[in-house]
Amino acid sequence: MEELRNVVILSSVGLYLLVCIGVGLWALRRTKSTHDFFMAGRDLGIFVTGLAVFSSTLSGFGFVGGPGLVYRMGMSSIWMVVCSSIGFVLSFYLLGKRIRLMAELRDSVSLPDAVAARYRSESSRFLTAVAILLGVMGYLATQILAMATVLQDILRTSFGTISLEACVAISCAVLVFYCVTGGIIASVYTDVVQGLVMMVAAVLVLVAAVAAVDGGFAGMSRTILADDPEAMSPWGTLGIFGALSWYFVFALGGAGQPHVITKMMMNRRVSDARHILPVSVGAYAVSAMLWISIGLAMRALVLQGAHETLPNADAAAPQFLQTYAHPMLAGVVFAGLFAAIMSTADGFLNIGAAAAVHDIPRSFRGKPIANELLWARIATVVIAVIAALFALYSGENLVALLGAFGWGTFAAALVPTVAIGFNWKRATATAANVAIAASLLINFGTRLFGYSMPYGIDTGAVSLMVSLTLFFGISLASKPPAIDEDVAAVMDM
Amino acid sequence: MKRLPFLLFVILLAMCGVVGWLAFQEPAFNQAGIAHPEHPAMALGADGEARHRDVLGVGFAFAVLIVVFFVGLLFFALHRRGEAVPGKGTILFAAVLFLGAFVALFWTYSRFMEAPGAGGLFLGFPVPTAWMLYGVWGIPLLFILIYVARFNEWVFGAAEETEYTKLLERVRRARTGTQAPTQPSSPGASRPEQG
Repeated sequence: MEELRNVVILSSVGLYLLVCIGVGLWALRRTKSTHDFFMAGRDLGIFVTGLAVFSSTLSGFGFVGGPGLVYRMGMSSIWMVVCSSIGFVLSFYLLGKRIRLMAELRDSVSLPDAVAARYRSESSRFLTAVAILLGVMGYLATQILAMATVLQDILRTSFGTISLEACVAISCAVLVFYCVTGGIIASVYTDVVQGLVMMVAAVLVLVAAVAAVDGGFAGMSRTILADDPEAMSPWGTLGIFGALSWYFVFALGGAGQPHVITKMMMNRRVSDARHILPVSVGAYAVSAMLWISIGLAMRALVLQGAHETLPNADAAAPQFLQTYAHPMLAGVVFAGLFAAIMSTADGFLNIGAAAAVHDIPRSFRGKPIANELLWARIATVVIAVIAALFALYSGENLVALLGAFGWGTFAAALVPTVAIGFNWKRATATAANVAIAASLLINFGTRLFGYSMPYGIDTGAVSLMVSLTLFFGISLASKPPAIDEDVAAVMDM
Repeated sequence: MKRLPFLLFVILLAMCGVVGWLAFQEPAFNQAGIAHPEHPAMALGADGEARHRDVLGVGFAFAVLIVVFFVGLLFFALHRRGEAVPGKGTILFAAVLFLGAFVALFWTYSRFMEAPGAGGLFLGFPVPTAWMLYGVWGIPLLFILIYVARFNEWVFGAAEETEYTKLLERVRRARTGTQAPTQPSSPGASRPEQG
């Protein structure tokens, strides 16, 4: 079986990509309007929405970067996983009902649409759309780069070195195909396939990781404790404030991720939120086991001298799969890795297209452009091409800068504006606009000038604290704003 | 409810204050970890007492602020139409347990810090780490249970669904007809843009 390892991996990935293309073709027949393209006709069931919410949250970062962080920092990054339970709780309590009601009431096809309705402000719509578009470009570029790098590695053994450009073209072609043909319908149904693949992969990896180290998790803990007790402490090597700041920004920040909360606008009935929450949390908990188990196993194996030291932390997952996983498992996990990357990337393509053809023009013209569906499809291709070019030619540092910029910016810009503002009638458009502007300035400014916070505190967490403080402070200091009667009625429910 | 936004604002100011205070402290050499001498892609936390002894209390306060802020947001979300927050006692009970997990985590870590590795393992992990994995992750599942079990009473019940359906019909009729969909809820609202 070992000699067929690469054939198995290639077949698994190939099969997975074919399924994505199939879903795209199926969704094409169901996509007849802009509403279908961006909102799936607001007709998704509990299971589909639950898996779409979870798989959009866990990107390729969780499958490659997560184990790498555990290898490098011990338990520090586990706070990004541990926060998931309260994070999903906050997202659903604050938005599960409210965003769905608002979207249906005003027939919103995008998050900025709902923001404009809530604040009666085209400038809030515009700023929300700009924040989304900037974040999307950075996030998408990193996802495309990750996808192409993994594909290049897989193809190298069978076909020799293939250029990164060719790998970007292959992986983007599939992604763009199903996003253009089927819009968000294809995106959410591929999310279901992708979510299931990720869950199966995570459970199998957990078993392999426990088997790879004598004594399972206890054995890993003892080995790491003997080398550096702090790495196995709850704070890991990063320390108390770095870990807690991650907890804060990743828990609360989930309620500000547009590619995730947009999915909460698509379920069939408002009351479905009650069942979608446990589905999302359960699926995330299963998949996050991969993050923890590979990282700890590789750190323990290297410290025991059973595996050579890694050249970089991100090699933890690929090297574990190459060395310790059965070829069939490696095949499923590599397909799972593609699934994790693509399930996030397709959501970004969709909300990016909505921001470009629906929200930004509308904030100036006050009405939608003609042939919006056609333009949405064109915008999807254009955004993918720009992000791909950006990933290939702008230099790794800029891509990494914008990729890191994504989660923190979305959190700082949209948690106050959407998660708080949709629950609080006193919140004003000025406060929302200032919070969005402050989040862009702080996140971009600190990363551009290379400023780091003391005690390993995450910049995104500080940015979120500041934008929330400004949002509450400005709203409390202002006169209560006027709100449309129907919006006010929904906010009272 | 009127006081809750002020409380949340004060908590946020306190959190910003903690970050500001840290900026003026003399950091330990290993405040955010140091490079591993043998494995270049690994970091070490090194001496836990050296880096956390002076800031453990502030760290605990920071964690409490985060928990109180999160729970405050749950009240914020459940509040409706000036009524008392439904299920306040149940949410508070779960919140106390949630806070308890952090208290246990900090308490066991303070002992772990003084005697690294002592205290053995619980379900495969050092005791404070087990509190983080099983307690800090696990206890918020109670909030999920509450959401699922009490959705109809506390989140979106039959009466609200009926009210919402009527509102939706009215808005849709207005959208297809010539009538303006809705009126602003206050006199100043006729301006096209607020702020």
